[in-house]
Amino acid sequence: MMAEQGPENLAERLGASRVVHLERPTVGGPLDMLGLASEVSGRLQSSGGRPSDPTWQLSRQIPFSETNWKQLKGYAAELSRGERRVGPGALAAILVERGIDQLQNDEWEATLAESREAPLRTGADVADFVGVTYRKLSSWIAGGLLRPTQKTGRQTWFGHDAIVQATWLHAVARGVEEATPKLLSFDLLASRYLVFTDGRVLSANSTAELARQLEETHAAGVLDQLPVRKRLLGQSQEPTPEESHDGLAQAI
Amino acid sequence: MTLFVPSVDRHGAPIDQTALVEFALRSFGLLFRGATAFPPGRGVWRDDEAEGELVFDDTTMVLSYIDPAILEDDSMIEGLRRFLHSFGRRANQGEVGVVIGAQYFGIQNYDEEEQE
Repeated sequence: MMAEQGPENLAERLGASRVVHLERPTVGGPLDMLGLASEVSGRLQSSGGRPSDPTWQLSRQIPFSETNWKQLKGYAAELSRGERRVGPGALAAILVERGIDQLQNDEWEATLAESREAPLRTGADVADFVGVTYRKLSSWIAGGLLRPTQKTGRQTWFGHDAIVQATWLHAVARGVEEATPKLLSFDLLASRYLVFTDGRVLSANSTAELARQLEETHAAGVLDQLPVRKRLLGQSQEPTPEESHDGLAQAI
Repeated sequence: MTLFVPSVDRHGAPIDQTALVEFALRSFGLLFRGATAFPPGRGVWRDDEAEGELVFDDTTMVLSYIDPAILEDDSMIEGLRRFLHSFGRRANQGEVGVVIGAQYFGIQNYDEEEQE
C-alpha cells in the first residue's frame, strides 16, 4: 500500500518525537565515501574503455591545481574496487554535479525561507495573482480545499504557502477540464509518460525526453503508465514473507 | 539509513552493545537486505528528561543503503517502527536516533510491547 510522503508524515509513521533536517551530505568522512562509492558504482559504466556516465555528452578541459588533482587521484583510487576502475576526471565530474545540485538546493532553500517570511495577502490579491475569480477562491475555501493563513474579522489573509497551493488547485482544475478529452486519445497509450502542462498533454517515451519536457514547460504533473501495466501483469515487486515485517517480527 | 547504537542506557549504565548491534543488523538485513556496523566512536547525548544530564558513550553506527521506494511501503515502515521501538525499550534509551536520507528522526516515546 502506498502512503503519503514527506518527513513529517514519515515521523508520524515511525512514532518519532522530533525531526531534524540535516544538510546535504558532502565528502567528509568514511560514510560519505561509502555514499560516493555507491553513486560511482551505479553511474559509471565501461564498454571496454575508460568508465564513464552514459548521460555525459560533452567533454571539456578544465584546470586543476596539482594538489587538488593529487587528491582526486587518491579518492578515485580509494573508490576503485576489483574491476571497477574510477578515473580522477570522472570523479571530478560527479563532484561538480554535486556542487551544482548544492547551489540549486541552496537557492531553493533561501527562496523558500524568504517566501515564508513575506507579508500576507488579501483574498482579492490572491485571486488576481492565481488568475481565478474571487468567487472561485471562496468556493475552494468553503469546500475545504484551501485554508487561509489568518483571519481578522471578515478579512482572510494568505501566506505564500497557501497561495502556491491555490496555483496548484488552479493548474489541476484547468488540466482536468482541458486535458481530459485528450487523455482518451489512443495514440497517447503508446507513450510511457504523460506530461500535463497548461492544459496540454505531452508524451515522452524515455526519461531523457521526459527531463527535456519538464525543463522546457511549466509541467503541472506527470503520469507514468509502466507501474500500472506491471501491476496488471503481476510483475510488481512485492516483498517476500522473509523480507516483510512478518519475517522481522519472527526474528524479534 | 543510519542507526545510532549506544553502549550505555539513559542513566549511563553499560548495556550489551554487541547484542544490540546484532539485533539491528539482523533486523536491517531482513527489512533492507543488508547493513554495515562501523567501529564505535565517542558520543554524547543530553537527557532533557533527567535535568539535562550528559550521557557519554561509545556509539556504533549501523548503516544500510535503501531504495527510497521502501519508504512508500507501509509494511516496511511498520516493520521498521516495530524494530526501532523495540530497540529503544530493550536498550532503555531516552531517545532512539535514526537518520533516513537527510532527516534525523528522534523517537522518545515507545509503543507498548506487543504480545508474542
